[in-house]
Amino acid sequence: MSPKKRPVLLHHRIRIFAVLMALALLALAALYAWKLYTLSP
Amino acid sequence: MKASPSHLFKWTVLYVILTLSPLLLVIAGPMKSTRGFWTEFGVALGFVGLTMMCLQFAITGRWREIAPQVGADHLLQFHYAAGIGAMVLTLAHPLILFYADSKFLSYLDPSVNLPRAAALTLAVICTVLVVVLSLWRKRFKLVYEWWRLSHGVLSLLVVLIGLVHVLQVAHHTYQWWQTAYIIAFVGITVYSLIQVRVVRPMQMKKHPYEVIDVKAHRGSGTTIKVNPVGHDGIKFDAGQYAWMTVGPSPYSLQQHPFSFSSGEKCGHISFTAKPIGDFTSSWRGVEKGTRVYLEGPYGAFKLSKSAKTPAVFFATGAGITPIMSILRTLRDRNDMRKCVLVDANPNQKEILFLSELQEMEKALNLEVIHILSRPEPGWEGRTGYITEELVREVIPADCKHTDFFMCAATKVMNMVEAELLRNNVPIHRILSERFNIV
Repeated sequence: MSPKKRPVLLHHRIRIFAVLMALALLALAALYAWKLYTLSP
Repeated sequence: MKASPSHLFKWTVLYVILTLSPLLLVIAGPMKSTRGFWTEFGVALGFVGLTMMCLQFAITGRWREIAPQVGADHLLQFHYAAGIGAMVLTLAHPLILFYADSKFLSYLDPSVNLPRAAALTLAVICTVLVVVLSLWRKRFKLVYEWWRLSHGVLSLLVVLIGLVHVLQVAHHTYQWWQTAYIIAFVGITVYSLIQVRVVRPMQMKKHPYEVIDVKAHRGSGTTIKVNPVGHDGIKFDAGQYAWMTVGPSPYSLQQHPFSFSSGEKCGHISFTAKPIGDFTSSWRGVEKGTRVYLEGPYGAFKLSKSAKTPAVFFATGAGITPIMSILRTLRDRNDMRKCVLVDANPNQKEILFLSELQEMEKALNLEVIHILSRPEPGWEGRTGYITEELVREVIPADCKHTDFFMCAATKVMNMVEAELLRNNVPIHRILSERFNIV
């Protein structure tokens, strides 16, 4: 008998969403720094 | 709680824009000479960490414009994870700057500038403390009220030191409008905290309630019944909750969320609890005439408006209270939708509202399944705990059009929710209240 698949609960989904958002913000901050670095006089 | 995807999308986009807004203003302003990628990246993380921390105040500000659309429960879960994210980004700010250029170490050097070094060190300590005390409050045996005070004070300190730091460094805020924006951003978000801790208690003082009855149930449960004094009282939907303060002052640290146990149109308001902390343990000692202050209503633990939508409820212990409010309201409305209640308790004495539930089984289209883990002799009902088999047993064939409500111990809710999802119940049909995230 195969082990039962554990679904991702709603509050875990929200926390995963928040972590992904923090990572996206991190990436956008890096993009911003790169843009500033390449554009500045 | 039910939240529409369009509302979630709207608030997510707004959150990202607001978090990045100081960086967008830098790009919009006049360009300054380059400081290298890693320096700019470190500075950017400082800005993002600060704005995320500021938005944490707004998220928990109990704003009626946000909470009903997204769900207070969703917001709290987001606040929990975003707080950890904000801490990581804020701590990454100095670390990346030290990596980029060792001259930044002078910011923490007391021999260079004592007040600055002290303030920044304090900010780092407070940032870590805010998160650590929230994650492990019970392990540190920190009383809820003191945790709540420390959470507000420490967070406020971090944000204010962060603001002063931005203004003093002033590399990216040397234009007056950039400075004004940062000050306004911090000011507006911090106002959420003032709103919750000062403005709303001030409004509550004008709308007090009075305890008219304190009923000790057979087991450890207690019901407190209150009536408004000099006003009409809160209008709430069955299943919602209010923040309650018992005592002469609405500014007390002892403010806790409690679900209404009375029906929507009972003519009075009642709350029922079992002693799980200092506050609820003192309920039986509350005297008639004691002042009570209520803030609310909040929450989306509510029935579908359509009387054709069946409902299945799972409760353990005092988790029955919002469900009782819903059932009493259905009885008052003569709403005959199909309902099943699974109510788990240790023994007969601890079943809240037992006789009223028996009457309701006759008056409503309701089936109540009691399950006891330590029944006294003579119990002929079910024994044990809520199990996956029991959950499957009560899932109706038309589960996609049934509302499932859970107000129970965390482990039980996790198990029930997992089993419902495994049996193809849509996630938006599962409603839960998880008050105890700290």
